[in-house]
Amino acid sequence: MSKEKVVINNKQFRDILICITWPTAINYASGILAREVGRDMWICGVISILTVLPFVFITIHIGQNFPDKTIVEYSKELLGSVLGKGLGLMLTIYFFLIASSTVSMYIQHLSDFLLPQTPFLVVTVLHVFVICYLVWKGTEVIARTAVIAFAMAIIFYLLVLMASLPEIDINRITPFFDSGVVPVFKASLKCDTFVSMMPLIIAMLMPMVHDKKRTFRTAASGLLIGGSFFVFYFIVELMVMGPQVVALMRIASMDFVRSIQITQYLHRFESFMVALWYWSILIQAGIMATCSLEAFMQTTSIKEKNPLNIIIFGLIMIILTYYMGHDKVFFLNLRENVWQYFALPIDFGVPLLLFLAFGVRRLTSTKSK
Amino acid sequence: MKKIAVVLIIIFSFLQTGCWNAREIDELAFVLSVGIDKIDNGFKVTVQVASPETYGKTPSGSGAAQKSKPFWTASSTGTTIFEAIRNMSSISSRRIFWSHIKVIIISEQLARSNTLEIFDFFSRNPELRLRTLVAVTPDDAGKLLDVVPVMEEDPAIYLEKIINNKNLNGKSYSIMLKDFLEDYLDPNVGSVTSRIIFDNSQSEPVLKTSGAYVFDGDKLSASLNEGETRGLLWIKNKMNDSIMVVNCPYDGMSTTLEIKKAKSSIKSYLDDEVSHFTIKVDVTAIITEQSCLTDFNDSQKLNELEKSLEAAIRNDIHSTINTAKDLKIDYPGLSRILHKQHKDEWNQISSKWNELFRNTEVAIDVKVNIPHVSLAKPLEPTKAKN
Repeated sequence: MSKEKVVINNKQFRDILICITWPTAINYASGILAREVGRDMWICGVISILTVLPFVFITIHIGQNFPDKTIVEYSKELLGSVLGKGLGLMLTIYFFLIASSTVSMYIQHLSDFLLPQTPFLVVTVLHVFVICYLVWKGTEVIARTAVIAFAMAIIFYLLVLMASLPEIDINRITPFFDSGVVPVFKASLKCDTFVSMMPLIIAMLMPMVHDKKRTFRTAASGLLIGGSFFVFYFIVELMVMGPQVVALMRIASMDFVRSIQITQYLHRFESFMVALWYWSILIQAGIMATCSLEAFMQTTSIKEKNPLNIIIFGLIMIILTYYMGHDKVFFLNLRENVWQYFALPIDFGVPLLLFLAFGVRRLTSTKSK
Repeated sequence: MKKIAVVLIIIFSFLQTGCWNAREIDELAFVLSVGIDKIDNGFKVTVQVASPETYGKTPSGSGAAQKSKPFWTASSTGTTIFEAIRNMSSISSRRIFWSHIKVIIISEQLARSNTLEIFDFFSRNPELRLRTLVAVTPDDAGKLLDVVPVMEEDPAIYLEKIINNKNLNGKSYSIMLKDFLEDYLDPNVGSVTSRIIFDNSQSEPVLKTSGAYVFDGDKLSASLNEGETRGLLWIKNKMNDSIMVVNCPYDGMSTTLEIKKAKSSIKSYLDDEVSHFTIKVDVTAIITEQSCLTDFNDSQKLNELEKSLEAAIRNDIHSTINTAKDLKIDYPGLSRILHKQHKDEWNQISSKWNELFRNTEVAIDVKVNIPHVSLAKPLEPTKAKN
């Protein structure tokens, strides 16, 4: 894919960012956070959004100085060829892991509730095939699909709102900061693992965005809309089920959807809700996989993507997803206890490192002038 | 690329020849209610399954013999609940399907021993919904599901409706599995369930809701009578549309009031580890029946009636609180109020709440307003003028 030809408008860019913010957060983060801080889990969501915002600003600020380059390309300039390539490789693996984790979550959802007898591997192969198709079609097609996914997300949340109203009890989310301020901030780091890859994705997509001057506004609105989606979900989930029950469940979002109904006539609509949710999680997996392949190609200076690349890419994803996701105990432990230790240094460390390098470069160039 | 796409389409088309998870509707037994009883070495599980003929629009063959019951029940035993359910496959040609279950009934004998396994099973089951109602019966839970209701097609729908009618009579309680689990997982709050009994006063035995059951941890601890249950409903804001029968303040005859609006709020404070609560209840009611000849259009007399209702509500709430203190189980959920309103103090006393609860002081402030008496004067024959 030659990125010079690829252009996505700001609305599509915003919709991609919305789609990568909420679907996995509602799926796994709610249970993880409820086990950590109970009824304060929604506050962790708000803190996470506010934490990520400055990093979005930093990456956009650097990116605007390299308007036609992705983070992989300009890191070679800022950090030197070797370090830049190392960073590119690291981002390739990281994006790949997130894509694989996202695919795992979707397939676990299907195999737990809707297709319990279908082998995990079969659903994985079929889903990765769809992801590979998206990767082959590229960012423009994903961006156009993201617009539909955003519309589906709005329908999803309207249905959640209508169905939850008769069951909500505001007392279930009070008192605020029940578990203390420090534990809530600490737990928000676990929530960050579902949101904080956004600055890196922005840095990969920025060269394709049509109006670069408005990138921050677009990205911030994407983060805030996507963030408010999952925070809203956390709040109604708590108000309907209470923190103890949310903490009990591995995938609390599904148990929540199964606990609500729109009057007595529209109930058992979880399959429909999964279909609406699927659009966004598909975009998330698709864009992560695309960024991974793109980062790999830019690191290794491969100019064009070809079917062989995609097939190898897909096969590795099938293997990784299978080993990561089919053992649900392992996957839950990975996301709940391990993921933060490698994700957060990358999510927050890479933008800070590049910002530092960018500052040093600016300082030296000003002095030399 | 096109060749690869064609090859992939051919390969994947083999996977599309049938649904892996096909569960044909005629191969499933839709469980609508389940009864669980205790046996010597495990559980007896009775399922009440919907009969397709009952729910079909047309009867399956006019010559077919009428079934004695419009539903099917089956029982099986096992050392665990799941084993008992799987043992059912030896008598059921259809696979047990839980997605449509409406009520879980547990026998009192079992609930008094241990319920952990029951709620663990139902919390894990991916087919079951957390909206399912939970009830306990002093009788055999399996036998309860065998009663053919007159007004409904099967006992599950009948049970669901009579349990949800709690606010019409104000003498019973209803709880969904999700809410039950919330209380069950809270170490300071006792869970409460519906109580289902056989009513033998009718020409044929019918099922009836009456009072409630209180759990202490994972074991059933006590039953609440109808008055104590009503007190709990007042505290939990669940008395809208209910009725209260009070004595007429002048001649002691019965007067029935329909509760149009009831709103309770609780304030709390802590004084040296003694918790104080003020339960404030605002009620709007109307007179729907009176057997005395008092003219309640007279505001002074109406005021007396309001005071009678206030006293009756206070009595209900008092009896609930006193029972809770005697049992040392905070089933009204006062600890949650204290937690919400005094977070820091609560964190210091929460570990010993079950002991401190006995010393709790509760004040009850009830305000009743009767804005409507329906008739302009009592139903009294007009006296002839001399």
